[in-house]
Amino acid sequence: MKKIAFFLSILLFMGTLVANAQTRNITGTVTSTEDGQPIPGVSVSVKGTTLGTITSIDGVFEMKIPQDAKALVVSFVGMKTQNVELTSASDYKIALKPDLVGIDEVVVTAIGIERSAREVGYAMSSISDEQLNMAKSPTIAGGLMGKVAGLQITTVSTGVNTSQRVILRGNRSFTGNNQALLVLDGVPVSLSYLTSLNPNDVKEISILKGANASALYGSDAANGVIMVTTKQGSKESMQVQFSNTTTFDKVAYLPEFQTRFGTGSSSDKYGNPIFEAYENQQYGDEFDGKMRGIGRKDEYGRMQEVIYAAIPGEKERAFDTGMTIQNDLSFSAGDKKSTFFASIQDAVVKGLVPGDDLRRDAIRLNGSRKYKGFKATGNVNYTHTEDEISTANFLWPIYNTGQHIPLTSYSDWRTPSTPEKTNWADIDHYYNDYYNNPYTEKDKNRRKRRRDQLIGTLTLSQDITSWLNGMVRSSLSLNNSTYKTTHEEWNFSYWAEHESGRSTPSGGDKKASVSDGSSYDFRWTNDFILTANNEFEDFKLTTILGATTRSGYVHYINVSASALEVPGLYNISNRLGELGGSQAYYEGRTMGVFGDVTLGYKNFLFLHASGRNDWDSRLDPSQWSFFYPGVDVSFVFTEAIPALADNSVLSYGKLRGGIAKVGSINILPYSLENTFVVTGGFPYGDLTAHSISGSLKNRYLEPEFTLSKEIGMDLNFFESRINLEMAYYTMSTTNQTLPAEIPYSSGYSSMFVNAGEMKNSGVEVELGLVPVSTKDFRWDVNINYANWNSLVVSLTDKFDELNISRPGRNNFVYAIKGQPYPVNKASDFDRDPQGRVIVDAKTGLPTKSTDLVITGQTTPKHILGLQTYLRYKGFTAGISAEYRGGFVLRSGPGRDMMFPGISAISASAGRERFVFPNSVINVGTADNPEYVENTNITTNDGNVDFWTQTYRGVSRPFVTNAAFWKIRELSLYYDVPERFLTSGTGGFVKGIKAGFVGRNLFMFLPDSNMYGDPEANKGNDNDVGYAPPASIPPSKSYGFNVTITF
Amino acid sequence: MKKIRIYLLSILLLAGVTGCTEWLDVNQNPNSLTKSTKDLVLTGAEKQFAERQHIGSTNNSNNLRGTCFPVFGAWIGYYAHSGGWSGWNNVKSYNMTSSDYNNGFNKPYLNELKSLDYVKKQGVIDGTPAYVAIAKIMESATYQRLVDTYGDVPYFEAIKGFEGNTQPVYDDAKTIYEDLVVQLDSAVLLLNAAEEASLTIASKNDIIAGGDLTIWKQYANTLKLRILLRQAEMADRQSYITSNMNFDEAGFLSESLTANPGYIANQDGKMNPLYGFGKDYKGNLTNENQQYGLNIFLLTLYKDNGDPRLEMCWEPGVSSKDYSHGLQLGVNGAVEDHWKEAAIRMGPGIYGASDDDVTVMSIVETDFLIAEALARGYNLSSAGVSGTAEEMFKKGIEDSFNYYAARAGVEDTAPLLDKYMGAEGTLKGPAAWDASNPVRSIMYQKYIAGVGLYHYETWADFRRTGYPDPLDPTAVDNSMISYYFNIVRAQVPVRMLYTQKELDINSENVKAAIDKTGVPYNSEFIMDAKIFWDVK
Repeated sequence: MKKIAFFLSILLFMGTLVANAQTRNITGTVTSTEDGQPIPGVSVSVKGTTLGTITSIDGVFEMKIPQDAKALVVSFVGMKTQNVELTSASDYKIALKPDLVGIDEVVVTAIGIERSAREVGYAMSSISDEQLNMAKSPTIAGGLMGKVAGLQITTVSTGVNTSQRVILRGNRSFTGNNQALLVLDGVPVSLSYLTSLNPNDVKEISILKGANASALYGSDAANGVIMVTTKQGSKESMQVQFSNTTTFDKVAYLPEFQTRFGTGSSSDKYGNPIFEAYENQQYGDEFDGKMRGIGRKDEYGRMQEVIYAAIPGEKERAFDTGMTIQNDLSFSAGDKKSTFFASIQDAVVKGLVPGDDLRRDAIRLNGSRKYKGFKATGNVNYTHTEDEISTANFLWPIYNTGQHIPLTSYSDWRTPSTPEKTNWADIDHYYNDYYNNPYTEKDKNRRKRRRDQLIGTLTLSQDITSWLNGMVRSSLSLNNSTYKTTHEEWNFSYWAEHESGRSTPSGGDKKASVSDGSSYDFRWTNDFILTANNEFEDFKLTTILGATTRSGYVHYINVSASALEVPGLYNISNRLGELGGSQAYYEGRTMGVFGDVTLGYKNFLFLHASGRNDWDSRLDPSQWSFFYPGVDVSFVFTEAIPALADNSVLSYGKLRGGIAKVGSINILPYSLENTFVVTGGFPYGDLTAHSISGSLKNRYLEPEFTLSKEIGMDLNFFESRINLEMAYYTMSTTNQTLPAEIPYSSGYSSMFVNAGEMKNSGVEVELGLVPVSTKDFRWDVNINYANWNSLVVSLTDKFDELNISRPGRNNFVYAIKGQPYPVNKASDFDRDPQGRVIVDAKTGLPTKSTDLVITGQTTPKHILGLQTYLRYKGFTAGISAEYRGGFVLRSGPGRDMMFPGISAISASAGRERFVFPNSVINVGTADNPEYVENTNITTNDGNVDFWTQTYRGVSRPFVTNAAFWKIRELSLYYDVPERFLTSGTGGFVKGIKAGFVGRNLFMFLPDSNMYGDPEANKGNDNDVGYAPPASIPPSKSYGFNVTITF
Repeated sequence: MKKIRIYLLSILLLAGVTGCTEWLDVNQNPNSLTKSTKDLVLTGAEKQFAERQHIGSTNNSNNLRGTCFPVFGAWIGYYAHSGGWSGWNNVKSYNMTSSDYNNGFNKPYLNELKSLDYVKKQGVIDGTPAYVAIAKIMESATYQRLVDTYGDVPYFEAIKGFEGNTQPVYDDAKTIYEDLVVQLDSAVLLLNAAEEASLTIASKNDIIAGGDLTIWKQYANTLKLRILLRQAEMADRQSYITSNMNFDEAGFLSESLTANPGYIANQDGKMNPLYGFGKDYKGNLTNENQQYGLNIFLLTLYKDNGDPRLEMCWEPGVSSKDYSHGLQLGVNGAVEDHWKEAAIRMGPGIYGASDDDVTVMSIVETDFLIAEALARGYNLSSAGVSGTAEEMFKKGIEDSFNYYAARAGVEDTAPLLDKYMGAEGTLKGPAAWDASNPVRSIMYQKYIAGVGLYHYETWADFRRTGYPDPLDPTAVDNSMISYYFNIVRAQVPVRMLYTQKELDINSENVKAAIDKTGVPYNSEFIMDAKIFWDVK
């Protein structure tokens, strides 16, 4: 398996054979010390000359060498380069030792510059395509989870359209963008491509964790950079690869339900729950297993009857088994001067909510051509995505369905009732008075979307002199999407509206409505870069000078009609009343000039310095220009200190350190001037009106600045059997752009100021182990750990607390001086100094405290990632697991499930009056309280009023420890041995690999978390820490993959 | 050759750097206006002001959820919550927190007061006194509402943005009240000056008075009367009140002052917002209409006198098909006669039609204000008032009948009025004219006429006069007091709490205002801290 992978990615140049009279022929075989197998594609050259060749597929080489040649240099990627003394012999057996982790691997650094890892003075991790695609995650973001120390990927939406929040080394800005920059083949693009690019096109991902690449990429790189390099064609080979991955998704990790009580919303005067046949709330009496009517009598006097007992698993069964089928075909080829890579992917996704689906088709063409000192490279990627989803929350009406209700029998609601047979699923007869049939809701409310994404990059470079290269690159990224949201009409029968006695949950008959929208997002980046390489004696100098321009243009438009006359035609021309709609344009431009110098001494000491000046259109012209510098050092001490060279324990050691400052702007265009808005409701005919917007704008906003410092050490023991990389960093971000909340009595709700400071520090450790490595068996273990310490040093001089929840979301996420960032605040019960809940001596009820309490930070304090790979002959097994801890989550489902009374905790006291656990009563006075333990005063209600009002009225009970262990990925592959393929297909098929993959199959939570998967998060913004009452629950997935190479 | 290449590249690099000024200058907002006119801002302010005067909110989603209009309606015995829904425990238990119902404080400052401030300043710059005057009048009405609800509020330092203090101090309620009277007097002077100089306002943009400055003077006069009468129970304010009982000759409002920006019938988001309390744009009953049923307190008052307004304002319960089940505030919704089908529902007399005007100040309220002033012996001759208190009392009832009748589609109110209070009339009890305690009679009738019209005023009148008397709290059928099972104090709240946001980020100033009330912050009795004019 490994050999073929290597062979497929041959990167070495084949030298020119020179005919010489004074030559002789030699032959040889190159094998691996690891397994004794021959290695194809190994470069064999004569030392001190350009003469060379590469080994054949059998590991054999043959070449003419000068008579006076002294030695051969045998090198191969992933192996230690070996010098072979030439003797008079003409046949050589050469065994190469593996260079397991790759001490001298070439890494791709900023703007696509390839460097030896030893030169890099800042923290950097690489993920190969093999690691990324271990369990065939359909998105790049999914494949990266838990694999890089310091990288936090949080799922922010589930369903067929997933999205993730990607953070490197924590948050820097209180309210601005904290997400990493995505750079695709050297060009910054929208982070959303992490979920839409084809992961199979990826050759390698490099992750620059700190801000040191900012000089080359500009402000956006302040949050770290994820650099994705796509596959280029291989030289001197041609390959076609087909792969199919099919996975199945099952609903998983739902919160715990109660299974004891049926529908009802009140108690009688003795406190006993009352059964109500048409209720959504489940505060009725206890299940008794007897037949009972549900809903209301229909117009013929019939009533639906069911057994009054919980139906196990009914809620989960309402969801489909999701399915993802990906088919990939790729072609790659190359020769000495050209490379070519083409791929096409078709992915079909069927969602968990019945009827939700997505189809994605992507094409990529990468090619390059050289002519003397000139090189042209072009990459084009086009992705077309179509999806259709339900816009109705499918889960919420399911929570509002009693446990004895045969939910899944209501899926066919369109079949009309007849005098002979009532369809209990139809809108007139559905049992629930207050919530519609979830299937009806889902079918009536739909959104279809089409999205086209195009990225094209052209790079031209010219060697101007032997040491100077000029490069021009132009790249555009276009993202265009259109959508149509439709709401079907509701027509209740006359009987249902007027005679049935039921409330019509959606407010009676409703016309159909439609909303059409499109968004257009265009980015254009131009770079001009001069690179000079100079060497004098022991010094090596690389100088980069560059200029860059970047412009972005976004346009959104949306039109809607709230009532359509003729059912079925979803077009605004079919409307009644006025047309609704909105539009917005944003345009921003940035330019920068930069310089970047690396000075190397004797290949063990490297000094790197950079500086950049930016001009940004979003600021006032007086503030356009700002400058930021950076410097770092790398020192390979195992090479510098002779005593350490060639010792058998420590194979390689590097120390590094750096400091960098970055300016960034965290405002949208047009944020400097106060605006007028059209007053709500207007226009009325020919009359319009204006109001002054609520935020007070500040003309002279300045950039935020982050100063980061880091030190690190890379150690490699026993020839890469142990590889350890460590980093420690601190960051301080000052002069932040804060939309400081101000009292409404000032006339505004917020104003923008430059103030505040946030400090961050953290440790990152990556440990690679190879405990076993023999010919047939190899065991790899990769462990990565990171922690984050953040501190809000200051906000403004006026206040010490900033609610960073996005307007309308009410997440209660704050930046609070002296606290980590961000923290959750929650309302709580009144508590005594020991933290016990104070209950009223008469009512037995706790009371809601006046002030909110800080419950904890909402981003993980620790993340531990663990991958292990076992290879035995053709078999490979991989496991990827991740632990996150030290943070809290406010569970929307937890609270929301109290209202319908479906959560397990709402039945924890048997729906009877009970002594509030761990509570006290005040036997003193209000001024001089004296608290004694409450052992006998029960709540005056234990049913609906207590749980939906008293308990649900505070949010502290729904803030839970969000720690978890997840087995993210599991895979088991079998690589069909080459000899079978050779004999079976005559060598036409070069490789077959097949295996099982599974994702998110296991999750382990602390006992205190009753609310299910803490990763079900909400929103792409800084106010993480709130799980919404999601319409789509999390899932586990499993399936298989087959890859065939021709 | 190589040199030329380097030279060319350097030129390119330099050109990229120096040609940037024009290229970067793209920050002009294409989405929102950065300039407007005082006429357009006035129109917006008038709509927000008028809707807030009537229902306490300016709400385009066409429901009153989260507004104080139904809350105060419930507290003063107009409504109670029917069974079938849970919630409103803070309303039922009289136990608000500082996070509840904040919009009554936040929105006036954020919306109309800021707009009116802009209109006022533009009016001064443009030399158009009428704009300055009507902005002052609307500001006065808005601040009176704020003081009546919260006591001390930011006034002199409010609405200053960057020009002043973004943490405004709280000013003394009585001082604000006195300044409101000064502002109204100056507004009238400005209006007279505007008339003399023939400088009026754009009639199209003045959706309240259509540019008629006389109407604005009448409103200023009536508002001043309301502000003065609010203090009428204060013995130490009598000389102040008497000395300020002078009005412009334009007199008081002679008909209801209303506004209509051009509400569109049955158009979602474009309708009269009060209509949305009763029905949605499709004409279906809203949840609110089923959640808020007629309170037994008001029902009893109607029934005692055979008041025809019962049927104009309310529709019979769905299950009983009659007016038998009055609801009590705070009673467990599971009780059978509190179930939503039993509740007496709001009718069109309350919520009106979807394109009706909103009422800035009702003629009904004006009548009763004049009646009260006369009954208390104040001299209104400067405003041209000649009748007696009893005449104005009767006019108030008649105007009330006409208001509801027009909305409910009742054509001739004369026979109904005659039956109610003519020679053979049934009117008796506290709602009948009682010459020995005319203020009580006026307050009872003003109370009955206030449902759906001026809940804020009824709540204020109840606080300052004690009428309508909440009768015997233990007599279940006759009290407006909540029966909530967990109630801490059975007494209608006399204020709303300062908002959480002010406590969070203007805390020094708001805490100083709380300290002045003498009731400790965090005390559950903070809602009992009275407004300065509340001496009963």
